Amino acid sequence: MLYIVNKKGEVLKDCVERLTSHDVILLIEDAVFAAVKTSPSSVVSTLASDISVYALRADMKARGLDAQRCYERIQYVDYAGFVELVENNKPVRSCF
Amino acid sequence: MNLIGTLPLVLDVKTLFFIINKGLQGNVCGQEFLDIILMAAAFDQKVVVLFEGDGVNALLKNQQPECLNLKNMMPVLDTLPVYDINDVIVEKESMEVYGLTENELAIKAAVVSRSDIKKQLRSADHLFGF
Repeated sequence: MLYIVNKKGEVLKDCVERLTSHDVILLIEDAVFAAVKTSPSSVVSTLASDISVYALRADMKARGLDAQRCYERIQYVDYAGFVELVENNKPVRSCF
Repeated sequence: MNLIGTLPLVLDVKTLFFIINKGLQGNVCGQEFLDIILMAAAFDQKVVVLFEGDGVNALLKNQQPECLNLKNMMPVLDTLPVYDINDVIVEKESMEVYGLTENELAIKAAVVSRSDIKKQLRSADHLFGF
């Protein structure tokens, strides 16, 4: 199952609490801030290793975030990659 | 071309999950979301309504949104069975967080654990939230 999250804080926390084995999480919009290692929201570091974490490259770029400041486990996708994630991980839950 | 002949006779029925995870009073989205649920059921789709997180409070009795000049959603929730929506589930863990018991809920709903809900979500065709 794919979780698309667009905010950090409570929204991200509620989503993370419901993740189970082999789920995929995609950080978009302001949720990409949670990808930064020094971010006050440390939920990404607490995720089980069988959870795949993706961030949308355009939202990272728009906010001036580069991968060097982010957790190593994070993978990056462009819009085509976004579509592939949706196609390969149905059903999709948008957490807003 | 005979368009009628190309239309499927039976609408493809999908299982649609509607997830209410926040209060219905905060803005107009909650009201719109309930409208979408009823519309999906009117199109004969298999509809499941799930309340979790803060959303469990939307089922409390004695809500008085009229004091803020807001629409009371309870009559809409009461009509769910009329639309053949009989799968209303509430996440057990969220009820515990708010210290709620089944008899405090205004409508009939099944209390289901987070892990069992996850199994149901995985088999759904589409999940909707707001």
